[in-house]
Amino acid sequence: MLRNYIKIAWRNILRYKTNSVLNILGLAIGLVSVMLIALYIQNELSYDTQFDQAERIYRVNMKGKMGDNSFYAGYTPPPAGDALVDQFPEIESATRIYQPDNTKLAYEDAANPKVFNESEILAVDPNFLEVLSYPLQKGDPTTCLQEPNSIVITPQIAQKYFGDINPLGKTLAYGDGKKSLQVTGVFEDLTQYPASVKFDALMPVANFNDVTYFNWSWVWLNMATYVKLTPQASTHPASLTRLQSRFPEMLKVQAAPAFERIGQPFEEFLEKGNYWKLYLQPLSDIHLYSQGITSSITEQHDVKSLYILGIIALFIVILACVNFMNLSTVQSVKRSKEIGIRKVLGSQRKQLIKQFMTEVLCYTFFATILAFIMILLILPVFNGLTGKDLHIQAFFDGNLILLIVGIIVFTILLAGIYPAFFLTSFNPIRALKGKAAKTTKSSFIRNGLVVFQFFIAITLIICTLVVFSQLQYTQQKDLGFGKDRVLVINNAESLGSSALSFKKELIALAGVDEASSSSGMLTRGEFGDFYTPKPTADEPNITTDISLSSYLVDDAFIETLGLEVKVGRGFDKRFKDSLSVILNETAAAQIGWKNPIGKQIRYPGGNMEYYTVVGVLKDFNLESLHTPIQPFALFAEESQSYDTRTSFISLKISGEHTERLINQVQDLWKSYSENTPFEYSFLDEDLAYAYQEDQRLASLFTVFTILAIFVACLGLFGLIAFTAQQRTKEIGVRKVLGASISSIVKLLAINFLKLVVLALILSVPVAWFAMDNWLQDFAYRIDIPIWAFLAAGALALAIALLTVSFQAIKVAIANPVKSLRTD
Amino acid sequence: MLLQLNHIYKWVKQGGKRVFLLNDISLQVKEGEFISIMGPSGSGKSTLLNVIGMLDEFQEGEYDFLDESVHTLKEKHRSKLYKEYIGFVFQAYHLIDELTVYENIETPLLYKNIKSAERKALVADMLDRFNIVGKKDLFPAQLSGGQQQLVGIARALIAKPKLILADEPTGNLNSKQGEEIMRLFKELNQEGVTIIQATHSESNAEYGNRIINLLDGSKVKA
Repeated sequence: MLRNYIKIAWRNILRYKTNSVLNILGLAIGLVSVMLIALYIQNELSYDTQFDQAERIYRVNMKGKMGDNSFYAGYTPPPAGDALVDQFPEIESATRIYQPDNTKLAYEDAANPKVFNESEILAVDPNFLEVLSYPLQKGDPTTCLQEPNSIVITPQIAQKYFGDINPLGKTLAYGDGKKSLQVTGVFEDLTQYPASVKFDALMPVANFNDVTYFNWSWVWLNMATYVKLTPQASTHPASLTRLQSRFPEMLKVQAAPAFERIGQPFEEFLEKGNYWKLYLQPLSDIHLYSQGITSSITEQHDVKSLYILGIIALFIVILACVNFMNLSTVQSVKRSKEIGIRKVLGSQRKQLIKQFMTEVLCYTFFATILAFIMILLILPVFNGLTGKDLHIQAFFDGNLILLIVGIIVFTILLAGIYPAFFLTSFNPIRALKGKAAKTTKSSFIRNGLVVFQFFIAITLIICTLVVFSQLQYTQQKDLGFGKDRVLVINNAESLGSSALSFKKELIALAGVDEASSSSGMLTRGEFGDFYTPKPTADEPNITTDISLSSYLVDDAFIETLGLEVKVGRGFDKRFKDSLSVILNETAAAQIGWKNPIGKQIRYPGGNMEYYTVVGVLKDFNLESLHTPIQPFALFAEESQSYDTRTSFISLKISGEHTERLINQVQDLWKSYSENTPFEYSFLDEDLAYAYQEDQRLASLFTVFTILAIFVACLGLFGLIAFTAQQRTKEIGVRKVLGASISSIVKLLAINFLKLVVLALILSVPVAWFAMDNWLQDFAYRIDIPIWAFLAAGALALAIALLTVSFQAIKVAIANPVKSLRTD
Repeated sequence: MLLQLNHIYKWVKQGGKRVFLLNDISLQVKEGEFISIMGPSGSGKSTLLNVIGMLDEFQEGEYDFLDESVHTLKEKHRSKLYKEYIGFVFQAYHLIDELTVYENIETPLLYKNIKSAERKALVADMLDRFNIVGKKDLFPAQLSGGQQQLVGIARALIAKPKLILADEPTGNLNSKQGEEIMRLFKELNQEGVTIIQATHSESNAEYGNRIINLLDGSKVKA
């Protein structure tokens, strides 16, 4: 019997080729979408789960509030880890990560020495690999970071510096201090290793003076701390809560001296309504559930995008199934005769249902094979789009194959059951006469399904348009500075005292309008600390605590970056500015100053010195538009208020002969700093990088929207073909009576267009709701544009019209004599 | 007695009025009979055959088939009954286009759950008997009308039915082909198969040993 079913299915597939192609292609595209998205989601979910005893590892996070500013951070003060282990037996061990700025590594033994700037080196505690078990290819995880002069590298770094030589025991020179580091371990290839902390090399944190210097500080938030709990503490949510409830007591004791030292007695600080708290975040949550938690050490994605993709995948599968249902039921006219005969020959309904399910099975089988072939072809492109390195093998290990099988079964049931029951419900006599499918009920369902498909397609189109206009907005919005034609040179700290003459020579180059040096740069992070504004007689009621991020800059900075001074002045050589400060509008407003010029802030983190406000800057965005503008200040370079050990030189260039200019700058750089590689970037490109994640989401969105529309069109194409065929006789008669081709096309198309319009009406509120929600993530966002709805509607109508016309015209121009004879 | 119809009424509603398709039909059929039902188009010939073949319902009356009262049976039982005892032959042959001659003939056996080896033997016998062994792998579209009807009859006979219902079996055939088919029916009848045919043609009706005339759903005395 089964053989008979399969035989029939196979012959039907061959016989109704268009229909089969539409069905199989539609299903295959549905499956491809689901499988790609499943691969992506699986990869995202697998982050940080592969470490030994991952369920016992937590990141220590910080949440704090100072005056009007509150924050969450994936950073802790340096002493937090040790203190936690010390105070709480539930915490077995703690390990810390510090992210140094770009560091130079050199391999000098070789005949041709190799020097590169490495941006992905992390400094860690010696026990790091015992807590987070990154796999080593060579070396011992318990000892390889014990000695301060050790470095553990990835195979890529090994290849880059040593080629094919065994790197173990080789020496790399680090930084400008010519410190020698010995390679004590080599990792396995980590490019595919799904961990939220990524790096090219690890070295002991003991090499970094900043960390040692701030070891007393409970306010210096620059290190990530990971702790491993005892099995008991980590498995019981209650004991975890109990453990965390004891943190504030500890902080009160531990942090007090540090707060005292910065002029903020801790008790007083708390009484003002501020807080300063530690809490634990499970390791497996870090990658996807860290919205709003600042960290540049971990790769943090938004779980929301996974939900969105999952929903899209589900939509596309449902679309494909709906197609299948539609195309199968419309085929009922062709199939009704066969069904009638089979019933007359003694087939029970059950047996017919089995037969149709077998057919669906066959279609799905071919669709699955096609899907796998398509995935093999598409995966490289998809990887480029997502920035991941996914492999088809991933389907066959783990639960993914179960999921895929589940989806296929789901597809078979969803796509098969309705047609099977619908088709077999016919009375055999009616079926033999080919009259079975003309019931109003089935056409209602069919129309409903078309509306549903276009509802989904239009919703996706609207969402895609909104996402793109938001992205465009973020890239074109006036950020409060001139981002174009700004060339940023990294590692200017290596110039030392010769920076000044380097700048002078740069300015002299043709095509350089301005040159400035600064301790920080937009998108690259900034120094942050607490300051106390001083109340004055005219403005006594002001906030006396404020946390400010800031750069140390020279007098050309404001010009070079195109910042706007609203009140007062910028730094100027004619004045002595070492005790001057320039605030942004937000900072002035948060302090509460109406006339900030001439007012003073004190810096308890330094030498308790007072800085006088000389100017107020128009607000500008330091990072992407995701983050709102924070209180910010500029201090003069010569103030030497703090030392970040980083320095950038930014050039405003004319934009002509840029290539040649860069070469000139590079030559000049070499003459000043021959040991440090020349590294530069353009500010607008750096900014675009901040939207990479959004851009990625938008591209994914687009791809899957196109697929959804395509699948929906396949369905429409099949349906209109059916309608046209069903109305062949009517069309024949009309043509004999003198109807024009266009009037027949109109006759056929108008009903479908009505359905598309209905779908449009339904999708508007849904898309609006979804996008309103998504836009909430942006500190600066567009109003949802009306044109997106209009455009989506027009696009959907145009696509539908095109699809419908193709079929309608085909029928309309057919010879009426032929069509009349068939009946 | 093979079957007995007692006062069968079948009607459809049209504009609130009953239009009778079958109007008080009573009929007794003994095993071995060859009955021809005659009448103009729309007189109810096909409807009567469908009712006898249990493919169609009726509103009033009683129908006994081999001492089972069909009008009280559930669909499943009814389908079992006709699967077992009745074979159908249609004017338009109604072969399954996607199946070969061999497979078309085999299909009723599949629905009777007959084992593969036995099916093979039965189908081979049937192909032999109708001299269509050479055509067994062809599809219906590759056959002439007469050959298609031959396959249709072979298919009707394969399950060894007691009764064959033939609705205008020669309606789509030329006279020579039609004659061959009628001669075949005669032969089958002589072998003991009961046959009821609906026909327009006087000459075809003559092959039977009893003629029933229908007009507007009622029996007319000849």
